Amino acid sequence: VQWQRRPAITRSVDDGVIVAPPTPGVEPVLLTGPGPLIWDLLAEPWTTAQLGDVLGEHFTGETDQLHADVRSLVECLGELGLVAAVTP
Amino acid sequence: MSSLGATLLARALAFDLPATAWRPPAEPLDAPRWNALLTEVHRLRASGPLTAAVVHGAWPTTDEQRHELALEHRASMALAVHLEQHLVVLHHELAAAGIGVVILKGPAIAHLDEADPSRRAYGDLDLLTRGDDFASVTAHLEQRGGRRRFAEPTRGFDRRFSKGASFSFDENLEVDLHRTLCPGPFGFAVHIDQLWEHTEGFRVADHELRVLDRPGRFLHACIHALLGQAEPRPPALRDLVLTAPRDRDELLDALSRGREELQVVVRDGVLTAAARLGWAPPRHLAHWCRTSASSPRTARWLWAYQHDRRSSARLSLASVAAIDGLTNKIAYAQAVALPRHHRLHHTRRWRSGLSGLRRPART
Repeated sequence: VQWQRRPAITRSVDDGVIVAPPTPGVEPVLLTGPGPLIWDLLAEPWTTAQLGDVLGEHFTGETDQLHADVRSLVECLGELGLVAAVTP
Repeated sequence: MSSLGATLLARALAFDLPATAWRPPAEPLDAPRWNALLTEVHRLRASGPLTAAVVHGAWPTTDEQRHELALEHRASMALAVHLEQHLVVLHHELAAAGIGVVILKGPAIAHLDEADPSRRAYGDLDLLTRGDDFASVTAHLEQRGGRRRFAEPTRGFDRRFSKGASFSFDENLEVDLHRTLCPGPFGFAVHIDQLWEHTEGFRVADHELRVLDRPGRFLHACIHALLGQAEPRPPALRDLVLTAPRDRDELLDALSRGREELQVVVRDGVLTAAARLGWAPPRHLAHWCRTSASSPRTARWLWAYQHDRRSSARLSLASVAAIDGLTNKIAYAQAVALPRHHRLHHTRRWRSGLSGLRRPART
């Protein structure tokens, strides 16, 4: 499955980016660490595996853990309506 | 407001402005200076430019200072995002109902004039609506749970004379609805139709929002900076610099949005921004400031805003002189001198006075 970000309201802060859907009542989330890079990449459709591979080039750590973290973040963003599955 | 904090804040706000003399410090500020600065940053929601200066390595800090600023900025930006969530929905709902609104100040400056929207924070939403739509927008805001702060003094006052009204909501939201750009006489000197004829759009989360064009934003920035409070606030002066006319045509455009009396507000606003932010206005603007003159009449109007004991009564009194037409002057004076709820009270007293006179006559 490929994922792509949906229209959102964003603000950059010192250590990351604040993101929220344009829906009153939905709490904004703060993306830190690799989060802002993932958010930037999601301007285009990516699978979580592809995102994990790209992140592997920028961040050190266990590859499996990196991929698991990416999946977890994308799921979270999906629940908030900030990313959606797209068909290639 | 501490003068130390205000001076330091001006340096922070000027860091990325064109043609400013102020420079960031060479070393991290000592604790008293930093605390004075952070207090001002918090009070005036001005964390954006300072954060940008720190992130870009232009303003040195200790780790602790940077952490404190990051927390302040994070809270400030979370509020801006929260407000924009409401803004997008409000704008969409009103457009669907066929009502036009134009977004003023914070979001407009953030998205169109700042290098990055995160450099401009704000604590409420300001919407401009036409006098004829004022009642419809008010009804819409009240239907969404908004509580109007002050009632309309008399029927039709909002549509004809009001600067606007404020609405507070439960979910940390405040909306200021404007009919014109400021209260008092200068509010009547704005050519409101001209503002509506010159708007532009920007997109937030795929929604198209309307704002004043750059000359309109500059005029409003001058008005807000100079007349918004008795003492001009540095972030409002920064808005003025960011929207300053890029050439003579743009300046003339801005001036054409109001009567001649408004020119003193533009001139004094520019001169104040130059003095407080160490800014050198572009040549065409500096030249115009040197050659424009004020009159005793506009000096009296300015006094009504800037005097330490600024009051709505002073502004109302000065407004009578600014309103066109004798009938309008009388209607305005009646409305502000004897608002509807007071009028009812007076009528009751008058009636009870009459019945009091009658009673002894019957006995």
